[in-house]
Amino acid sequence: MAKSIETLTESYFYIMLCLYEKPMHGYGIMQETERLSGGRVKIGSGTMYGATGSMIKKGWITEVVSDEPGFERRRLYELTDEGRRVLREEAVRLRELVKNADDILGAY
Amino acid sequence: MKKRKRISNTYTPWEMDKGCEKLNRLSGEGWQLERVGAFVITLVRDESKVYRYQADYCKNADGRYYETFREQGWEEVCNNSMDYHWFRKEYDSTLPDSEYEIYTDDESYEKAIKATSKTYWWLLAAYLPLSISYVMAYLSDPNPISFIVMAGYLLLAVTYLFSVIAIYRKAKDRTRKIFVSGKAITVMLCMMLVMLFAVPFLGVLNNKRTELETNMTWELCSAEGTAEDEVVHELDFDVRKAGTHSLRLVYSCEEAPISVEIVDAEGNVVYRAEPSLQCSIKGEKLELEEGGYAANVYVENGSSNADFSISIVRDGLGIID
Repeated sequence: MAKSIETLTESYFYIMLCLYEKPMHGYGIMQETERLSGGRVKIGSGTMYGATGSMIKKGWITEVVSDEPGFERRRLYELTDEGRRVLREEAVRLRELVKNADDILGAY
Repeated sequence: MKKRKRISNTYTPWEMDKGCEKLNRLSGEGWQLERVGAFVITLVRDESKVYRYQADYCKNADGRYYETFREQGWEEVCNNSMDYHWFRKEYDSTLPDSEYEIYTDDESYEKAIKATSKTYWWLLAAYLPLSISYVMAYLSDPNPISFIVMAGYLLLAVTYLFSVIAIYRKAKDRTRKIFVSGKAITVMLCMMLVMLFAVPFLGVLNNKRTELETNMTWELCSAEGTAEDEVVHELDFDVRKAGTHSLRLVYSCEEAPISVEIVDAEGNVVYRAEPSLQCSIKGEKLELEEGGYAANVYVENGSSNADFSISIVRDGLGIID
């Protein structure tokens, strides 16, 4: 897997962020994203399916089957080590952007 | 027995949002989507609910695909062989419009709609070289039939090219209304079908061909110096395509008669008009094979004030070749 700097869309970023702590199913990701973004970022089914499919292909996430009681055989997504690396790099990149914005724009 | 209504389906991949807008409107009027066919959309009367619809293109829709839609409240209504899926969700006006969107970011929309262009790229790759070869064929032998075939292929190639362009333009700006409408394409394709049917018909019309047409007049025919007591006019003609021909033989003269024999390349007589001073044969049917023929006009010595005309025309209407 080539080590590259990829800029992620907000949908991708939030999906991966939601999966950072524990695996989640699509609906949970959608709800958590809405909560974290204050209702601003919504992830529709088409976007979700496309994004997760793409991330599975890139090896950033995998599908797992839940063994939670009551949720057995429920499809969950889990962040891989590569996915974690990509997310962290992206956060670092964004931090650089925000820091420079803070310095130059001052209070905004 | 539930009431049903049918509307036409001319929506192209870049007009699916337009199509769903119509479905949404009809749902509000009490007509719910039942099935999307190749040309016809069937709706069923049901005023109890109002839905919002979305159409999605997905090749290899798997369990994960359906679950991703189901978990957000979408219910599949139908799908078709072109990998399109129609979903619906009950409408609640208190919820924001984003609730009824399936592509919430433009990049994912762009990617999804560009995926629909793949079929058209393949079709274009097939029809472009075909069209070029038919253009060359027409230029090397211009005739009505090769023109129609060339036009048919060009029309198809242009349709696919416009489709690809329309999809890419829609991908760049999803709110855009694209110039090439599905209705226009349907009309173009119907025109193409008409042209395809016109080809054999024109082929039949093309059959009509004048093989021989000659008029002669003379004041006095003198056979002096010939072995026979007559002058023979040999009118050669070729039949390029076998078939039924119409003979027109009209003449009149004085003093001495005229007779006519039509012979084939081997000298067999296929038709004979006996010697006479007058003749008025119109529409006599002759079955002629492909090959060389001659109409031999025997004018007896002394024949005067003659007015002679003969024509042999291959019939234009009849069995399609």
